[in-house]
Amino acid sequence: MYSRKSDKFIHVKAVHNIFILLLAAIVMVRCSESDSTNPGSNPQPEPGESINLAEIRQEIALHIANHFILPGYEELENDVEALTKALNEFVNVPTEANLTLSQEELRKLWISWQNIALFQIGPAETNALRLAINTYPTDTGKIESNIQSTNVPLASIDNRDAVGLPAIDYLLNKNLDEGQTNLDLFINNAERGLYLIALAEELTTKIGLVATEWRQNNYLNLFTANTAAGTDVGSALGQVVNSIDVHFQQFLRDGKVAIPAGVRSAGIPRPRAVEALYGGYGRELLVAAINSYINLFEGRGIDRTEGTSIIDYLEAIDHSSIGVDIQTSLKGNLTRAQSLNQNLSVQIEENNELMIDLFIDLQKTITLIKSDMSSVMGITITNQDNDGD
Amino acid sequence: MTPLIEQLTQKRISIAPLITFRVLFGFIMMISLIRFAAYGWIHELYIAPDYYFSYTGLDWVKPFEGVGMYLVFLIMFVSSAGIFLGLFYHLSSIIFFLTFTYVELIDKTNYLNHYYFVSLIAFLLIFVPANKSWSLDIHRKSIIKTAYVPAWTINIFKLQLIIVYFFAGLAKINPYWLFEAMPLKIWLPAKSHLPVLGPLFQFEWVAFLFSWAGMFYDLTIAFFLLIKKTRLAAYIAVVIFHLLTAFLFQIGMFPFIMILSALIFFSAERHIEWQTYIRKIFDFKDLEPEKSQKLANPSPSRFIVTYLLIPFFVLQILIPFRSHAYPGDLFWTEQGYRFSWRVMLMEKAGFTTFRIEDDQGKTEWVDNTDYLSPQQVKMMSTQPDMILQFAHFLKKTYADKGFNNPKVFCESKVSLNGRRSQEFIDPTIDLGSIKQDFKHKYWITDFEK
Repeated sequence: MYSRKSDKFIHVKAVHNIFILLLAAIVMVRCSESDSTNPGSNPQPEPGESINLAEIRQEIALHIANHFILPGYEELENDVEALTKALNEFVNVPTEANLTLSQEELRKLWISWQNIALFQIGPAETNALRLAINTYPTDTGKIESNIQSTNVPLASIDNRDAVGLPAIDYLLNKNLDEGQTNLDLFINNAERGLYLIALAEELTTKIGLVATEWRQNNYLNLFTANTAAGTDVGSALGQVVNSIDVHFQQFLRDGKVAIPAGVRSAGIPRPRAVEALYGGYGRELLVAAINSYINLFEGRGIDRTEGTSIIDYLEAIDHSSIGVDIQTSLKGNLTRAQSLNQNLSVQIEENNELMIDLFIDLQKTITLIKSDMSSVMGITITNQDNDGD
Repeated sequence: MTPLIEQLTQKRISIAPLITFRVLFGFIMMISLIRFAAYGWIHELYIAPDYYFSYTGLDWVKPFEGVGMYLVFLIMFVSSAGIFLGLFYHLSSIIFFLTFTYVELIDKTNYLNHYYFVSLIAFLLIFVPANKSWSLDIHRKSIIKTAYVPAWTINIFKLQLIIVYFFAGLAKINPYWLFEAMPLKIWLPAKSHLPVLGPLFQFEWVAFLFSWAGMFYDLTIAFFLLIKKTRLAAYIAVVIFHLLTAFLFQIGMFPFIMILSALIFFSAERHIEWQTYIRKIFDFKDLEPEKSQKLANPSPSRFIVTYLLIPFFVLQILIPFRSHAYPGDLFWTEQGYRFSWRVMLMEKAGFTTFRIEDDQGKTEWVDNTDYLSPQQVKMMSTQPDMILQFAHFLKKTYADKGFNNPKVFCESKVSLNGRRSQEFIDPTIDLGSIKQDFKHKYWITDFEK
């Protein structure tokens, strides 16, 4: 048996040795590293009192909420109201002029949708707004059979590819055999008209629901609160970046470009998988979507109000080059998109290379957002909540 | 046997610290498991995915189908309760170790150092007589209440904690951490909205202060806990440090597990004091300490220590150094990165895609989310062994899909510790043709600082 005294002595001696070892280790590392320069840390301007990063993040959240999301929903509500009105007139009085008006209102709404589609956040997420509004390619067989049935549950998951903008596009813009017009299909066919109006009403309900939750049910406060001014999962910026990460990849790159171009199907193009297949203005929607990203990064609101942007934040944390590169990359994407045929199916059939080139070009923007930007901002990209260590 | 070793292993000491440790460990495991289940992670991590990143050589470790995984977690929970209550303790500790470790081995994208820590502690608990007091087992006739145990049964836990902290500290002695304050220089400003300390976090000197303090803390804390004179102060530092990390980072239960585990360093007298206090509060009559001086002496103790625990600890000390066998920047290649207490050590993010080409001219770009969960995509994107593993899976999948002799090319860009993204994997190499082994992965593009 040993006394406590020697017990203690042994511990002290061990600690003493460890300290010497530690000291030696540190000195060694310092010597071997001291002459290597320090490129990772660009001389960070000591952010003095003038810069408050938390405040900038909160300003961005406020700007996004007040000048993108709220006016975006307002615009959607107005457009869907106008569409509903036009459709009612058309169904009641099926004339060529009323049909054209309806087609125009649909197009307007579809373009407005591009401004808000990237913000699948909060109520939009819980209500699966994107899937209800814009699931394509639409299932024309299902639409036709729904028209013949009564009490179709339009809000059900099973009907996602038979409702929304793509379904209305089919009904209004369907390509017909020679000698027929879309007008003929609605004359003496009350069910077809009723389905069309039901689709518009379903859109109105969904959009209204989400807009109201944003405006009235405190989601706005939650999103812009000081407690959401971090960058973790659930913070405003965390949500925005995770939302655009998903949207840019799945809906912009894949939905609008990659899938129709056959990138995901062994190189076999699927020209009928384009957005706005029947209206034939897929390029316009694609361009609108890319523009909505440029506006977001530059802080130009849907209501045209300028404000604090993600680019400003990147500047504040001394990574302005990433912001510049994202802008350049997005503008490169835009130029390529603008050079495409207005009708993307035609583009794919005539020269699919340009679509594939755009796909590869879009990948560059994703790298910048997902890797460079999220990394320096300390944002974790994963919609899955979990522990780290 | 030298006197020192004799003293550290065979000396008769009070069982009290071991009891506290067992009860608290069982308790915090129960809480952790309830939390895990409540977040829906059993389904999300072990049922929902179509593909699992198994460890090399352990690809036979697969999740159970259907309700199987819920059952595994239920058994794990019951066994953690068994540890907490000291009921069928040895069986419980064996089952807990096996179920916990099994689950952790299913998918390496779920690897966390703290899960590794739990597995190691659970393994050690199998061999100690932690049910010989304050347990329901003492009501079963075979178990005899005891007041004393050989010292090794407590010292192994101290040693385990020393290893964890010390290696976590060693890992921080790297130029990113010390001279760039990376990754804290990114992570702390991201928290500047938090009350009280928040406003300080955007200053670079704070990131440096935290980095250096963190390194010194990890390297030395276990030793200050060993010395009686500094113990209380050191334990207060443990509580502050871990609460701070819990407050700042999303690291789940780990801080609390460490705060409770570190109590093992306190003297037996202290533990007895606490236990007496608890006993009085709850009026636990049958928790009276055993008066007899008899030693709970598991007869094979010397055998266990010599042939099992010594190799166990020697291995743990060697494993972190295996990374030196590989060329290149460790944080970039992550060759020999895991199982080394490299905790919260880098900020890494990437974008990795795969292109499949077959010899008849077919080309397809893979949508990773067709096969992987968001968490798996994120982990795979920056870790070469997982990229290779997934490439092999894709090769097989595409061959089954009718691709003739598919080649798998990877395009990957990764940002490390605040640097701009760089090419991560040689895009001209068919990853399907690369063997999965522990050799140096030469197809990782060199990192340019």
